[in-house]
Amino acid sequence: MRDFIRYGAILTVICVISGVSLAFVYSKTSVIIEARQAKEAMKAMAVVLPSATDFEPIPAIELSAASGGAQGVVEAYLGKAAGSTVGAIVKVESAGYGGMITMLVGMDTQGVCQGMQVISQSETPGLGANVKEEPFYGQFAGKKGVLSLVKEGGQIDGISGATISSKGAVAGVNKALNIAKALLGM
Amino acid sequence: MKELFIILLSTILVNNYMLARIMGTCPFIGVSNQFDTAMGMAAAVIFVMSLAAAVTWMVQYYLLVPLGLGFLQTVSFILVIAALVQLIEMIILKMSPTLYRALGIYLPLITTNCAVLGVAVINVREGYNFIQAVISGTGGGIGFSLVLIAMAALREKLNTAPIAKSFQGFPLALIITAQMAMAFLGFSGFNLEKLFGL
Amino acid sequence: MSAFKEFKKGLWAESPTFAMLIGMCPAMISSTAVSNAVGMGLAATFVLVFSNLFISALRNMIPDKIRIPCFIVVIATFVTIVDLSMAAYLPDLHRILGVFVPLIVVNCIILARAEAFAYKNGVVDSIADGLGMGLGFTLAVIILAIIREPIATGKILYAKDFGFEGIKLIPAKFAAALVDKPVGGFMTLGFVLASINGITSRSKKAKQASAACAAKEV
Repeated sequence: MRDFIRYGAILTVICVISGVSLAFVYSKTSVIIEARQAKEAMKAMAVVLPSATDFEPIPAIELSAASGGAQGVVEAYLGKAAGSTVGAIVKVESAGYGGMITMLVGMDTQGVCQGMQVISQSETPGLGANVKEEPFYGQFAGKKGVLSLVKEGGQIDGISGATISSKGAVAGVNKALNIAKALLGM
Repeated sequence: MKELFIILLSTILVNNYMLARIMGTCPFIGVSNQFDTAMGMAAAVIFVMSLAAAVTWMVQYYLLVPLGLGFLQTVSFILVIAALVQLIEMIILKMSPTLYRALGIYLPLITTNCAVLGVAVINVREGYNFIQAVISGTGGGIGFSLVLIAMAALREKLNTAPIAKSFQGFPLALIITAQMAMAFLGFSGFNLEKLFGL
Repeated sequence: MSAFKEFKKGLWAESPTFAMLIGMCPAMISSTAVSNAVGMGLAATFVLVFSNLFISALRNMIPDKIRIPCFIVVIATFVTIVDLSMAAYLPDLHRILGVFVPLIVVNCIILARAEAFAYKNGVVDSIADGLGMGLGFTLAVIILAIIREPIATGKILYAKDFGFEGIKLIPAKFAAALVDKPVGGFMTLGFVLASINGITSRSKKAKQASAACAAKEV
C-alpha cells in the first residue's frame, strides 16, 4: 500500500511537471499559430475576391437560411471595400473522388465568379489533386451562371483522367455561387 | 445507420490502418510469421482498439475540451491507453487464465501499436461523435486483423518456398505487404456515400 | 571516448530502421520527400535526445514497477513540444506529417532506447546514444526518400516551407504517383533491406537483431 502511494505520487509529480511545461509552450506557440491561420485565411480570401479589402463573417443562422439547408456549407463572408459590399465569399465542401474537396469561392455583386481556391482535398496525386493547380482553378474567374464541364457542353476544361474530381469541384463552385447570390439578395 | 456502416466499411477497407495509413507495421511484421499468434493478436487488437476509441473519446470531450487542455491530448491519450491495456491484462488474468495465456503476451505490445493511438487521434480530427468513434475503432481493429491474418496465412506458405537469401524474412514480408496495399488501393475508388445512396 | 562509441553505433551498425527493424511506420510515411524525411527525422531525434537525457537523469528516482508510464509521459511531453513548435514554425511540414507527429510517441525506437539504454546508463552516454539513434533513423529515412521522391514526383528536394521548388530529375509525366502511396513505402523499404542484406550478406545478423527486438517487445 505504501508503495502504491509512493508510485502514485511520483507519477503525479512527473505528470504535473509535464502539464505545466506544456502549458507554457502552448501559450507561446498558440499565438503564432492563430496569427498565421488568420493570415492564410485572409490571403486566400483576397485571391478569390480581389476587389474587397475587408471581410465580414456572416452569422451561421443567416448562412443556413441563405443556403436553404444545403449540405457542406462551411462559412461565408461579405467582401467590403470603402464601406460598401463588393461581393461575397463562400467556403463549401463537395464530394470528389478521394473525399471532400473544400474550396473558397468569391463572387462580385454582378454575379460573376471572381476566383476559386482549393483549401483542402484528398484526390489522387497527379490526377484529381490537380484541382488545386492554377490551370484548373484559374478557369473559374470571370465565369457567370451555372457552370459545367466542357464535355457536358459547359465552359470548364476538366482534368483528363479525373472526371469525378473535376465534376465535384464544379458542383462545389455552383453551390457556392448560388449561396453567394442569396446572400447578396440577387 | 447508413453513415455508421460507411464508417465501418471505410475503416476496414478504404482507409485500412495498416495498408492505407501505415500504422502498426512493427506488430504486423512481428507476429505475422505464425498463423496462431496472428489470430491471438488480431483478437486483442480489435478489443483494445474499440475500447481505446471509446475511452479516449470520453477523455477528449468530458475532460480536455471543457478544461481547455487540448494541448495535453497526446500525453493523456497515451497514458489512458497504457493504463487501459494494463487494466485489461489484469482483468483477463483474473477472469480467464486460458484467455490470458492466449492474449496476455500481445497486450503490452499493443501499447506501442501506432494504430491504437492513431485511431484515437483520428477520431478527434474527424469530429466523430461517441458511436461513430467506437465504430471507427472497431472497424480499424477489424481491418488490421483482416490484413494480419491474411498475411500470416501467406507467410506460412512462404516458409516452404525457396527464397533468395537476401529477401528472407523482413524484406519479402514488406514487399508482400506492398502488393496487398496495391490490391487495397482498388477500394479507394469506391464512393461509399453513393453506394449507400447518401 | 565511450560517448562517441555510443553515438556512432546508431548511425549504421545498429541503425534502428535498417538493422534493428523498428520504427518502420514513421520511416515509410515520411520518406515521400526528402524534406519530409529530414523533418520527421529531426523531430524524432529531438524527442530521443531529450527523453534519453531526462530518463537517464531521473533513473534513480523512477521505481522499476512504474517505469513504463513514466517513460511514456516524458516522451509524450517532448512530442507535444515538437508538435506545437512545428505547427507554429513549419506549418506545411506539420500538415503533411499530420497525425504522425503525435504518433512519434509510439515510435518504438524512442521507448526501446529509454528502456534498453537510458534507464541503465549515464546522462552523457544516453544523450550520445539518443543523438546517434535519432540521426541513424534520419539517415535511413533520407535514403528511402532519395529513392521515392524522384520516382513519385519527378523532382527532388521540394520543400514548400523553405520556398524550394525542387530540382527536376525526370519529366513529370513519367513520374509514378503510386510510389508516393503506402505501396511505395513498403516496396522501397523491402528492396532497400534486401539490398543491404545482399551487399553486406549479414542477413543472419539482421534476423538475430529482429528476433531480439521482437522478444524485447513481447
